[in-house]
Amino acid sequence: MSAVAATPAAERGGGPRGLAWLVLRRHRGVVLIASAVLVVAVVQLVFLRLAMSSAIDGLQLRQACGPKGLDCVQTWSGADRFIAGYGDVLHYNGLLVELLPVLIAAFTAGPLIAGELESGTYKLVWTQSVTPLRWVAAKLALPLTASLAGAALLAVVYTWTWSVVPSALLPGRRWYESFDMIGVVPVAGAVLGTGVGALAGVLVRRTVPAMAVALAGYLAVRGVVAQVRPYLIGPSTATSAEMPGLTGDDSWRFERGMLADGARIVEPDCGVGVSPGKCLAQHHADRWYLDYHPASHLWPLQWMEAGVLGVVGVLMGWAALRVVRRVRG
Amino acid sequence: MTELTFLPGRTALEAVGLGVRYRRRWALRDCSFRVPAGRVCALVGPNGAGKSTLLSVAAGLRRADAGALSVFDGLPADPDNRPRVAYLAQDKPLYPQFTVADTLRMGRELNPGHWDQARAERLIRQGNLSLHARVGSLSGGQRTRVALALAFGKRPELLLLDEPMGDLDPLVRHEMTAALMTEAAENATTIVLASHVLAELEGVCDYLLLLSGGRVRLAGEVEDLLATHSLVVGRHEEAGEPREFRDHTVVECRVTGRQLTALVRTEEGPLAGRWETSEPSLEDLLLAYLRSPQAPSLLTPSAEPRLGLRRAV
Amino acid sequence: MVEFRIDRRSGVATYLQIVQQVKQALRLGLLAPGDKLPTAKEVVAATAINPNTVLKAYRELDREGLVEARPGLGTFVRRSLARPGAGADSPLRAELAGWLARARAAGLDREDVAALVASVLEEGFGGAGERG
Repeated sequence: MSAVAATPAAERGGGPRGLAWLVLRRHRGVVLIASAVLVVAVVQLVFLRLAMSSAIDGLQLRQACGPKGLDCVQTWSGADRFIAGYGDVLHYNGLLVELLPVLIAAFTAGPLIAGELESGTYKLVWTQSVTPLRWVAAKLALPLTASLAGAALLAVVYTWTWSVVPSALLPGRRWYESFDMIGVVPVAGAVLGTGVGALAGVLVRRTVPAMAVALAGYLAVRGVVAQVRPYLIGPSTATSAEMPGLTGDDSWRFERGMLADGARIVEPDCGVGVSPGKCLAQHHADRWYLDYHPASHLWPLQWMEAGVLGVVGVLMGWAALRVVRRVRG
Repeated sequence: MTELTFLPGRTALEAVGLGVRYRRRWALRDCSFRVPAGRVCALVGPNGAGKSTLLSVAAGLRRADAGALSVFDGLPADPDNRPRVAYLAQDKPLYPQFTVADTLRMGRELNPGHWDQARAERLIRQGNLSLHARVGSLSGGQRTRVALALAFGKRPELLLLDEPMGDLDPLVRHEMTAALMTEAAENATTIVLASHVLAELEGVCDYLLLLSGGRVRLAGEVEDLLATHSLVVGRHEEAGEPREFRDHTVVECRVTGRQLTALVRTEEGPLAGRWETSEPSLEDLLLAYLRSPQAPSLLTPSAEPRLGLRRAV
Repeated sequence: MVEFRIDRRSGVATYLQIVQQVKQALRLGLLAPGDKLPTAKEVVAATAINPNTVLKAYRELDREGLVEARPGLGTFVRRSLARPGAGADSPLRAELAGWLARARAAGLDREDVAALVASVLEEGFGGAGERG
């Protein structure tokens, strides 16, 4: 019997041992497919960056659309051609990065944890010589490793590809619009996805409902954090007599209003056909104000949000372990 | 092997005031008993009696909600105890996409240091199963064999089996029982076998634990339990129970026409009078207790818990 | 070596069935002094009964002085129950075979012979029942 003969070799050889072996063997298909998709995505992003880079040089967009040339899209015909050629591809790649943590949450909650609880196979594992706690920990280690490796790789390569494009050529893809796809936030999102998925899995204990709950939970947390994102670090405020525009340079302008004796009136209702100056007088205000984050705030904001998501994710994962501990002795 | 497998002094399983609750309903209530090590113990009772619950607590899959259940004088979930206990759940969960070899590999990976590959493979080969067969493609009986091989490979000191033979044909059932008994003979493994099929227990089990309604009704050596009961048959025409029965505990008493059939405890001495008495079969005993929920419980001395005396839990 | 057949429905305790079958084998000369009885493990593997039952039966045979347990070696037959005159090649058996031939020649069938033998047995040994 070849399998018998192979046994000692397998025992001597390297490769994962114990629970790690079990989790990888159990989810071998998913691991292989996910790895293949990751490799394809990364290679394709590298080519995309090279192609975009040469297109930008070929169309002389670097000078035309540099930091100063923000309206190059209107004035430079090459910009149109670049956006038509690469805009969608970049957009879908961004969606992939944004979606990855969602997939991790659903996978962790469903096939990884609730599936075992639903089919009863957890009894098989828990009655070997490993504790349930170690089992859940090992189960979480897989998606966690995937997020810290896969998501990080994908996010880094995407950020690198995205950054080659001058900001003016990225309508709808500027740093504050691409916030969820670049830098460290996708990695933290994957940590959150793992935590939410684990908690949903151990609480719901049925595959499909657990995936739905994990999805809803993940989107809810991200939604709430996105609401408070502008205030994660102190914004800059500019005041002016003229009403400021909500677009313009590379800064993220998220709140505009009037100042009346120090009190803020957010986006006052001026009525149709009322000039901004008249509107000020109507509300007895003296100046306009604008809250914004300059492009230099990208990384501080990224780290703050990643920190929040990461902490929430870790807390949820910890709660999942507590639930398992409580259910059994 | 010329020595008996059981060591009366050692305790495999011991419950004191054990209670387990599913939401409002108590699946086990105030259960106290002891199973000495090395015994082959039948865990019997009607469906819903709490057999599976008891086994899952012993396997460390559930917590007790009241009282305590100890395994080899420790908690079932104690990391030191996990390697010593193997458990076969009623639905025999296995990973269907694994091959038989993968399943055994899992046993080796999850039981480092005390996995016996040869013992597990022997049971697989006896059933002419290929190691490369997918578990999902096996029949119910073959899956049971794989699950049992996984349990044997662990070299357990306590083997907990929940309705293991339900889906086996008579030949395989005989083979499996023989494998179990060989395991007990070779390694003095304590076996607790839950079943409601009495035929699969007769001659196999030397210890008995009868549960019904979440409570312990009988516990002890099969022989002693049988010896302390008498099956009484005789003619009886007056109303009410015969006078001679007053000094005895009557488990069950039925009168059909003139004939009286009763199961009576005889710890207090033999029954006086003109009654024809005989030792009941295991089936007589179990059925009588199951039909008479009001009959008091009986634990033989070896089945009395000792834990409560030694240390409070 | 003997092979045990366990009848779970017979109502006879399993260990007693083993005791009786060993004695029967001793009577028929299937087992002779010095022979080794199958180990509990071997019996259990063949019959799927509780190993303690086998050991209990062997202890019972030991108590009666028929077998002895040698620790680490197994259980061995100490004495036989076969009578010298009851062997397969004894003169008594030859005489009985000759008598049976004459009975058949006289027209007796199997049942007639069995009834005849039973009644003679009854006369000869009385109703004392089985002799160990």
